[in-house]
Amino acid sequence: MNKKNLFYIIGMLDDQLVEEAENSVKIVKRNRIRNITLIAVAALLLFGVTAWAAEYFRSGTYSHSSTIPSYKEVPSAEILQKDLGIAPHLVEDFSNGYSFQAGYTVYSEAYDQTGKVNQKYQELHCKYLKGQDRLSLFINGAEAGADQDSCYLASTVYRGVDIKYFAYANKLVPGDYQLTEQDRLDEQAGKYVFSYGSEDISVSQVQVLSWTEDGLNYSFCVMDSPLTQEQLYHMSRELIDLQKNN
Amino acid sequence: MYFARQEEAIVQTAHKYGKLIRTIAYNLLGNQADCEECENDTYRVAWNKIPPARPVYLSVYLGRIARNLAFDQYAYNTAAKRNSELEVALSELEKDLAGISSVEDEYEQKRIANLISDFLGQTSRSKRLIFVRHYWYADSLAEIARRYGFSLSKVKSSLMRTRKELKKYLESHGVEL
Repeated sequence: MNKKNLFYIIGMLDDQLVEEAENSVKIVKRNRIRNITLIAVAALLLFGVTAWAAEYFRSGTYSHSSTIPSYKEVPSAEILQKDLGIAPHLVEDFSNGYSFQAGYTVYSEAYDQTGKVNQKYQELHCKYLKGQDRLSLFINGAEAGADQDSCYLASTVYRGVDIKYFAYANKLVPGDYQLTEQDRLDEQAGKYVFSYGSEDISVSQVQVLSWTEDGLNYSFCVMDSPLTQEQLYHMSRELIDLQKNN
Repeated sequence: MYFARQEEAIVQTAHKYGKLIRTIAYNLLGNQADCEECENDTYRVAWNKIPPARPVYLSVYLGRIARNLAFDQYAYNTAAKRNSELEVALSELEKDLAGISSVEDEYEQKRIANLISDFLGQTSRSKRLIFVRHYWYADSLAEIARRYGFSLSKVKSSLMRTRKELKKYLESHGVEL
């Protein structure tokens, strides 16, 4: 096969493969410290504000997403059922002023210990804004459930739903960054969770709220946000009420 | 905007996908002047094809146009003894798939492309990404290593293994030797 042949054949590769590679950043397999979804969520949030899309690992899950919104208006449960196979009811405006901005489809694959894909699913990532502050809401129907870890800092129960609160410092570093000895010590001590793919090194304070209701996993994630733990709880209660009342 | 024939579509496309197009063009051509020409031609071709074309992934669609345009220029440049990442990448692939006959028929090319896509879909994610970045985007080995945080030797060995496995896969699926 000559070069011209090869060039055109490779050019015909499946669009999804090409798109996956376009949006890919450093492949990071994390199997320690806070083996939680939050690393991923933080990474997504951060990468999401760059020109490119996001991808991340979380507890054996690989996900990627485009920065092009799938929804510019709040999608109905019927539309989400049709598009993503999940049917949550979404809040358009939270009572504290955070408003729906856009919804993105996240493609995820859950891996087992051997690297075999156990489940492929689509996840919804909704961006809410209040002024410059941004809140991400993730909803999926992954069989593995929401954060199963015991490393949450606090929890509360509302209408039978167990809501867990996590907070940590996220250190974002370039894709080719090599951890220093101090970084390793910080990571082991739980001082930082590292995310890769930024242009510069920066540290952000991340807060996440997670809960599972009617087989769907919900997560709020904010970064360097003025929102308090109690305010996040309040927002989660609004969302839970909406599901319960529909 | 393309469907409404608003020329702002080109401005927005350049804003959003210009970097991607320039990267692909530069990887293939290794020349800034040709790269800019390729980028402008990509917008022109996209404008002429959309509609009726309605690409699912606009980035991939534009990337593919840029890739094909750059290849035409590349052929010209090669004649002028220039070089590029593409030359290196295609030489590797050509060597490992040497036994497979050239196919000019587009249907057969598409069949082989589908087989390669199926093969990549079954292989590990890191191998798949490295392969596509190198042979579709014509990224250099060093660029791939930097992008994914791998060593250069890991990227090289991954590509070598993937090419060998790909050859076996194609053979086992009746691609003529």
